[in-house]
Amino acid sequence: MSAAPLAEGRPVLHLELAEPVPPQVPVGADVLLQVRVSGAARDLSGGRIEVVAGEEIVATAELIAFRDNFNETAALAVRAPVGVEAFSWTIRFPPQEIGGIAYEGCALPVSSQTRPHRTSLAVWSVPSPVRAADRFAVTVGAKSSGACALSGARIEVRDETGAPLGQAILGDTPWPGTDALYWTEIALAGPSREGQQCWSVAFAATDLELPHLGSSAEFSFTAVKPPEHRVAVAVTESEAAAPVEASEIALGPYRAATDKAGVAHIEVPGGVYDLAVWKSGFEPASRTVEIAADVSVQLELIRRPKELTVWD
Amino acid sequence: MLKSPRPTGAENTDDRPNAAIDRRSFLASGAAVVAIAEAPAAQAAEAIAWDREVDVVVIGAGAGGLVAAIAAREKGASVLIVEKNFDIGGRAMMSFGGLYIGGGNRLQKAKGVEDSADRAFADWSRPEKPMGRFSDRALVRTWADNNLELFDWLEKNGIQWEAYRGAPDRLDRNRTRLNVVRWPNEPTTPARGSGFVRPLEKTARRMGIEILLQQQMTKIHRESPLNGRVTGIATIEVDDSYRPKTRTMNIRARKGIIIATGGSAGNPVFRTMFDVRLTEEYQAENSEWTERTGDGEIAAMEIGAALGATACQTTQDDNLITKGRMGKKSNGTITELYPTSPHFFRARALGLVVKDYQDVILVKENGLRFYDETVPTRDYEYYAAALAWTGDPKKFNGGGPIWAIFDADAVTREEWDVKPPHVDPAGYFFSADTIEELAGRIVNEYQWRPMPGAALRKTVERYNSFVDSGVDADFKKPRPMHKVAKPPFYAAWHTPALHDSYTGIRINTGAEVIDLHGKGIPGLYACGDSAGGFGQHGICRAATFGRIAGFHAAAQPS
Repeated sequence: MSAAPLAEGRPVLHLELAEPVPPQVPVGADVLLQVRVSGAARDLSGGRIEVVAGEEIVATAELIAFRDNFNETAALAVRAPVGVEAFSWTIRFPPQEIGGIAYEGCALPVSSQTRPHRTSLAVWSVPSPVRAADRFAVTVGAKSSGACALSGARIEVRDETGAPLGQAILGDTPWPGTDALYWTEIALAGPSREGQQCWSVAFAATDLELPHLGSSAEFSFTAVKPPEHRVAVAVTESEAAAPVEASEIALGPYRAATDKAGVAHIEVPGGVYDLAVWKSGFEPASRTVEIAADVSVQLELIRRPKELTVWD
Repeated sequence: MLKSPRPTGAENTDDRPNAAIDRRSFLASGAAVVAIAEAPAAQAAEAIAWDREVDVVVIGAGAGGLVAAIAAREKGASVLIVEKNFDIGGRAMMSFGGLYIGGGNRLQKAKGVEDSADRAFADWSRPEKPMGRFSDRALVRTWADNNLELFDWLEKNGIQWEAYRGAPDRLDRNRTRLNVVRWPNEPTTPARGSGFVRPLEKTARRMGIEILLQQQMTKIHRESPLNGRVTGIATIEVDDSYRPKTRTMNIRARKGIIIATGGSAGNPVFRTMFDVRLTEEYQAENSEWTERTGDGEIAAMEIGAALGATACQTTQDDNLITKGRMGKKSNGTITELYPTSPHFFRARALGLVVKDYQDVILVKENGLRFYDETVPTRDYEYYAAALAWTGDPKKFNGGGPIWAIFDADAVTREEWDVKPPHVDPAGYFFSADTIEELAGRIVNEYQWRPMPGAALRKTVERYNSFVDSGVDADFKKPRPMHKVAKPPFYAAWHTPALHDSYTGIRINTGAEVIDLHGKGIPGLYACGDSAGGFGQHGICRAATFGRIAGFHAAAQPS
């Protein structure tokens, strides 16, 4: 914090900031400056403050609110450089006359460093299981930490080895319900091998108006053979022998929910599967089943004791 | 007639008005020393300028306090209740409204249920159950012996019964769990507990019992610091947020003082005496109605009271801790306030109830999962994991916040409304476009460091892979069913909540407070959650010993 020395007998003014400038700010971000002037021992309301970048005055503000022996400005927003760089500004109280008194000028240099915005990703609507070699699509979205528009940016899906499998361009409008998640669908060829897959989405975040750091995210799904058999899973409550509706069924990677009759239908290739049934309020149930033909499978659910589920 | 008229369980002083003299003769250190020790205190007692004077002062207008006040008034005493909230009801107002009350009453007979005091006692002192193992059996027996009379007495004083619950409940074997009828048009909460406290409030006021609201007890006066009768209480007026104002009072109690302050679950200093893990991030359920800060326990201990049956507090049974609802700070599980309630400013939100824990993952402050989310609320291994240390170098006890992380599809499945007044965005509910961004948005008074975004993203990616593989390789959640994938994403405060206080001031079967030497403190009584000794949840324990306390206090000499 500094002040220019003045002629003898004139007050020496001091400039300072209510809050220091952070050592790093995102590129293009508005930096808020609230400037205080002290040393006049009188009200400087109406006095002018300038912020200078290089030779250019980039913001001006008026001193208001004389209190605790200083005047201050309202918080003024000054935009940080749009490139990644060190920068400095000069906050100036130019020579001026306030209330019939002439004041010499004084100045306060401030400096900081810009950094790129960060990005982060979401991947959803990933079908699972996927039939090996069938085409499918996933939805991906990217977000800038500065909520910058990412429309037109390229995003890519890669396999476990990092080989590119598909790409698309982010659309023009954010995903419904989000602030600024720019998204697209990416069409993909199914994997050549069966089983669980772990692929990734890569966002280089280049060619944007402001510098951004890239990001990546993983997503998984299961690839399967074409179905061969139709399996009916019937779920009943053990004591009442009543059908249990809306219980969730997992037969290996295949998923379904029971209907009003307590039955779910699933088509699968032959093999040995873990069959799991889940419904809140019941003990989870599972068993191993071997599917070699169209078949019906029964599973009973036991209601959890009330004393484990209530809190009154 | 009151059962167990002569209290047992520890030496009592109820019918010994000259207990202070006995105490002097009991001391072996010499009459001269005693005289020196007690003379200034006696003068101090004389010096108190009493602003009010009644026979019996009751501290707290909840289930125990209202019953105690009516009982004392019924026996002819003048009674004053001080309550620090701006409405009566205490914790019972937010209660489900159930009592364990049986013994073979009219409703049980009509249902064909055979019951007796012996059966009730046998149920609630079962040694094979931690909930029954550690209770003072003399108190359990007193509760059981008073069931029948209390049933009639509560009816006489305005309580209407709904029905017996047709299933076993805690230690009860399908006989004694009886719900009250909710107070009609109660404007503050849909909880059934209003059906207990509102009728009693009406009865109390009709009997001429004065209720001073927004008066917090700050001290219990005793003839000398650790000897003699209790003489009255000091209070200070408090505002709607329990902040002290300037007006203080000294209220003389000619016959007795009854502590009914609702327990200590909301006081981290007090509760960590029993379980050091229960640090300040854990909120006491129903704090939006009543703080439960152990005021009565502390004031009684300051004049020599002991605590009773403290093992009841750490049985790891019943719901001493609950998973709670989510998205709000005071996340009690079943009860809520209407948004139009004058108390809603304390709750700030209704909270969300998770119907199916397949719809969320639960992570600690570090963004890592810690347990199978689907376990029932009484799984104490879940709480052991939730309360485990995660690395705060300045705080080794407690486990920090637990956050439920979920996506837009979970909101649809659960039919949650993720806006106020259902959630509290001021530190207890957050949303974001991506998982990493969500981690960065979590700013909360108990989150000691920012949640690492990369850690939360890896947690979610790994969990999502478990949904594909069908196996939770980390915590064996039964067949993970749903990915956390579709934006926007949400983080809701889901830190365990504290439910009951199962320890408190040691009392005998006459509800008289017992000191550290096993002797009664003449004129001082306690009931409800502020009394220890009987680890039974709910209103009936409060009513049983409140009624006994009221009768005994009224029978004291002036």
